[in-house]
Amino acid sequence: MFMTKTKLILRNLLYYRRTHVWVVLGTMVSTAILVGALIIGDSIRFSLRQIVFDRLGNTQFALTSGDRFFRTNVADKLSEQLQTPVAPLLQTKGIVIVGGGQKRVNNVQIVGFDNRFGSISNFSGFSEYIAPDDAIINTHLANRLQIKEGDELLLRINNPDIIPKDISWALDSNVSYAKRCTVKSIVSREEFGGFNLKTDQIVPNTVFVSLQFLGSEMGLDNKANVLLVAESQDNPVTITNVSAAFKENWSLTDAGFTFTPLLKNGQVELKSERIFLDSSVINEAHKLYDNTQDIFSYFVNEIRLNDRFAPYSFVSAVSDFDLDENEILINEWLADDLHAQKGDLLTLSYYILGPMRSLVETSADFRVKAVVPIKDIYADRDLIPNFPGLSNEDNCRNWDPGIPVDLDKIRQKDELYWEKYRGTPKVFLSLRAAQKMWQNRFGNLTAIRFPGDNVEQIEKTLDRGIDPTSLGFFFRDVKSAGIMASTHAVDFDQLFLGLSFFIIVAALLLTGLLYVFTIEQRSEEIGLLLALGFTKNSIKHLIMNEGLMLVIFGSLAGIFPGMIYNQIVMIALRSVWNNIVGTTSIEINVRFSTIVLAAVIGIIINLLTIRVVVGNQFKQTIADLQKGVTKLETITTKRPVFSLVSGLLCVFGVVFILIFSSTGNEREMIMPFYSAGILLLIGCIAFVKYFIESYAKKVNGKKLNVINIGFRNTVRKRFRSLAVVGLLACGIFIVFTIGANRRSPLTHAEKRNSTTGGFALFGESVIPILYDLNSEKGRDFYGLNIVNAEKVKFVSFRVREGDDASCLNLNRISTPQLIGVNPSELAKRKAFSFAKITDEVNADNPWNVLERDLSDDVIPGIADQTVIVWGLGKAVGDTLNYVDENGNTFGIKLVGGLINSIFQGNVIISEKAFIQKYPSISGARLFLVDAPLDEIDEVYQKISWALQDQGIDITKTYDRLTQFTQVENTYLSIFLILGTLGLIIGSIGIGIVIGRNVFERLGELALLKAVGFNGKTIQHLIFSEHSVLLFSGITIGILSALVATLPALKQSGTEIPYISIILLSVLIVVNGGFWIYFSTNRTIKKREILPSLRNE
Amino acid sequence: MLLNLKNIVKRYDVSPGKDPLTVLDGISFQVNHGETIAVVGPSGSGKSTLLNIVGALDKPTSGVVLFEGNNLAEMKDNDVAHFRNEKIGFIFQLHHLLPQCTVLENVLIPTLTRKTHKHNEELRNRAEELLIKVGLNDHLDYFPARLSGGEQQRVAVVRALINKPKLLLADEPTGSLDQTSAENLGRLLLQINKEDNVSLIVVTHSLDLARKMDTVYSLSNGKLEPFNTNY
Repeated sequence: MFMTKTKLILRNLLYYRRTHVWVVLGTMVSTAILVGALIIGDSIRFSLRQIVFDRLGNTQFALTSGDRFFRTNVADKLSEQLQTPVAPLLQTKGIVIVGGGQKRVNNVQIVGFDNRFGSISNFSGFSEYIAPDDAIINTHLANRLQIKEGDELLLRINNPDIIPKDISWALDSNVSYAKRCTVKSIVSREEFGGFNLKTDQIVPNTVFVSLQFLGSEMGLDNKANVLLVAESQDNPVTITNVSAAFKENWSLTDAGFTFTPLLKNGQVELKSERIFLDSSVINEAHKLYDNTQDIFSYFVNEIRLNDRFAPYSFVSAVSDFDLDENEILINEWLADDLHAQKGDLLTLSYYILGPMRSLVETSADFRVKAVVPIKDIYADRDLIPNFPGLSNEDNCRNWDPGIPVDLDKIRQKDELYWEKYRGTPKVFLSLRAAQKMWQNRFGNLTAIRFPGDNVEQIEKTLDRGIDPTSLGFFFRDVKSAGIMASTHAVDFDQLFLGLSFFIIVAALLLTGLLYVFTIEQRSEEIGLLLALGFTKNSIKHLIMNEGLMLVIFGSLAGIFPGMIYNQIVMIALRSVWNNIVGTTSIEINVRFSTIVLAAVIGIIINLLTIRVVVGNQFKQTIADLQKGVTKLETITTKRPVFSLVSGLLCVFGVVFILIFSSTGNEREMIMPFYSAGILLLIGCIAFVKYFIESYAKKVNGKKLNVINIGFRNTVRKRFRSLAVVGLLACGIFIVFTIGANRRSPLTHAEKRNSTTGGFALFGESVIPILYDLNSEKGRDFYGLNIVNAEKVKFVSFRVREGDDASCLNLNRISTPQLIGVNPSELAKRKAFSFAKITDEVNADNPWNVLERDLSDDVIPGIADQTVIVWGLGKAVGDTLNYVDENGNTFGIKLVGGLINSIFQGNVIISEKAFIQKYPSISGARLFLVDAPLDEIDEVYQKISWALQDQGIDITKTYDRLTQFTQVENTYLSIFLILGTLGLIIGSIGIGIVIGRNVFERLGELALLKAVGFNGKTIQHLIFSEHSVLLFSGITIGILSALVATLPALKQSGTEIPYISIILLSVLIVVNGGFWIYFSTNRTIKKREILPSLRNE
Repeated sequence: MLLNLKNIVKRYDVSPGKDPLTVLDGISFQVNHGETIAVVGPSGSGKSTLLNIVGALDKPTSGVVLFEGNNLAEMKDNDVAHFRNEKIGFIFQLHHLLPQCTVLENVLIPTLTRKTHKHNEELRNRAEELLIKVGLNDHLDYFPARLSGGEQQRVAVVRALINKPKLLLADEPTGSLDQTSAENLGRLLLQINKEDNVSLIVVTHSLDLARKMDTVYSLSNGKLEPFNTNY
């Protein structure tokens, strides 16, 4: 057989197998970490994707219209046209109570379904009939309530009325209702129990009930607010198809509009069950018909002429009336009642709709243009829309409208009028005047009349013309969006690579150190090859190829341990670290390509490490190499100017930063101080180098003693010594700084600029709170008089549900939940602190920016900085796109990022903008509560009790923050654990360095023994010598970390885990000490020292 | 003329603030094709340093080394390596055999620098012939650990000859051998010198070996002077 380089490499691998096995182990560790981390990433992505299929079943497209409803038969028409299953649902929120109130779960998803849902779910249980009193619940809820099949539960269901509750005429008495049900079955995630249209991996608590039952209980017979369209393999549908099919099969009557033929007038009248007609409908009607009669009717509290008045009357404005804005027509009955006549000035008192059902009574004067007889249009009862609690009552005494009515004011003659004319308007005014006074966010007309009597034709014309999107009926491709969100979810592979960074570095260091030692041991062989005519490059090439074989072997060997590492992490993610994934439904997904990728990366990084260390070799002469003289054997005589200058520059930098950054707020100080810490770390290491080199330079002048002899060795091997100091210092620095970043919400939580905004409680309700809880009306209505109105204040937020963008959701979210607030409530409190703001924001009063108009379709928004960066993958200044209630896309520009706040997961906009974009969303569902610190528990209990029927989930603000900071702290814990593991691996490297140092000095040690030193003294000598390095590293690490974390230590909410840090530091010291002792002892005991002397 | 050394000086820095130590102080001498030279001298006199400079393993502080008229100092690193590989054969006191390779493989190590393997067969035959010549025909597949010191040194000699060098440099080749082995090695070196017309420079403490060379120099205090072997 011929001699080849490959053969030589194989011979080397075999011959040096004992030393090479450690290099293989080092490579194995780094590759195992890579394999594990990448599989974690794959598994999380796979699991999230699986969750998308589990929660959506066959659903591809979904229409969710919230408080707007359509007839369920649309589903059948759509299904027939698209040739794919379509299921209507009535979806709302509720509270589930069991055991007579002993157990209660708020914020439960209530889903009204029928057998059409079965074909979406692929679960037979949903294809079967469900009795009105039966409920199917998911295991998630069953586990929380500890109930089983056959048990009873009480449902309190949010009643999403056709009329938005913010319209004061809507009744406030039927916001929810209770229903007792029996658990028919409990469905798991695999049985579609995880049904959820939101992009979230967390399974919502869900109760499935009969659609028919739910509709009838809510007064929404045969109506739905969710439509699910199944994907179809045979006949693929697109969102355009679905939307077009919906438009084709949908009609305004499905959405609560009525067309009534007015035979007497030869007109067809369009009204809305929501009282006011939507602007999109009005615009389209005007576009299609140019001779419509527009009507705006209203309810006034009083019509007064001097001391005579008529209470509670309907008034109407009709576009045909030839009236000035200040003119009115009154009917004969009113003229008689008030003794009014043409030219009199009447005063109309009426309510204006304010936020949170607030009503402001105001009045306006009108001149009577004429008195009209009660006939023709002046006797038209149809001018009045259906005001709940008014229009359909037989007598005035039975009136029970949403607005306050003083029934005592109603006279006998009023009853008689009602009996004879019902709601026939008493006053007629110009449309312009009516709209000026009473138009609101819900519309500016109550009816439109079209000429003609062909109802069907008019209805069809309007159906064709009006885009259902403009009324909030539009589809989303929820499956694609879900898959997209899961694909761009939190990168757990990168996260765990980052968290395991120190282990990888330590393992690489180990590989590098071990390989370089192996090469150094073979210096004679290298010298020989050079002497025989090999070039340095060809030798490096040989060594690199040898290294390549080792790292390939090591990487392949690392695959299996990597999978075990992955298993361990997955078990931890399902248990102790579960709060960072929020679900136990994580399945391991091992992909061949991932393993190959990890192994290849492992090979590359280890080979690069070897390349770096090999590149630094062979600096000695060939003759020295042949003699086995390794590099750096000699003590340098160069002046250590570079080290000194570097050290001084770093220290100046530290002083400069500390002086110029120590003023300002603690948050602004974090980065400069962290930089100062790193500079100090580098500077101190430079000084250690300077010290070593200076010592080397003056070595001849030093007194000769045993310690000096030992220390000279440290000096001679200065790069190894520096590596030991640097590794320890960096390790301690990382452990300490990460530890110091653990946050506790408890500290300074009462401060307005803290993460709680100084608020004591945070509440979320299932049933919208319709009244301002600071108002007397609100407190009365909700029984909150039990809390002190002076001390306890509420800040309310409207909620437009969206995906949770907090750190609890792993998916990449694009449209987080929107919450609308009156910014002045936060501004006047100077609540919360901002991490980042755009130029539009006034730093002194940042909340006011929410009231600014940025441009036509862009409104300002504020969110948590962490949410912006991690949840949304955006930056302050970026814009999020939303679709408003009328199907129009608008942007929310993120103008400010809050420092870790209780608002995680939400985007805050102004209430004004919120109402403008989502006028139908009534009431507030999120609250911040100010309460005296010493009364928090009492206030907490009182509010919880008072608002229990609203399904209030009230938490102390710091408890809420704890939930978020726990996630952050879990990440930090993982980093600490993995970092410590890395440090331990690194300290094995230190042990190897020490062992190598001792091994190289066997001759020197033998000499010491020969001249009378005993083994213990020699051990002590070596131990002391390396202890200097150990303690230098630890001291530098702690000092630098202290500087780096100074602002964090002073900052509110920082919880320094002193015990963990001290324990870790002790562990590092003990571990380092152990390796020093172990290496010294083992090397000395294993090797016969005196033969070494003979060899010398 | 094969080799011409002109005024070679070699100095080493010893310790900070002290004058450098002059090991070779203006040494000049020539070597012709087929000539054998021995350099003797006390330990630390610079014999090995001189040999390393001649073999381009080390560089002089000043002076010129001309090999077949080419100045080694002007050569690039790769050319110097190539020069060592083709023109010089080294024999060291500690034979430096690779313990992981067999006898035959050790001999063939210098041939690995070639980029092609087209002469592999030829090289292998030459290696075997040389090993037979030095009496190691039965040991081709032995690893060095199984050989005696003399045998190992003979392998080292064969390795030095594998690329047909023009100059053989031997640094204390008999230093670690017993007397018989040392005498055998001396004979072998001279036999090679005669048969292959290879010039030979031997650095040695052994006057017996030195006497067998055409010229003997003594290196002392950095100076090279002719040495009378009749002492």
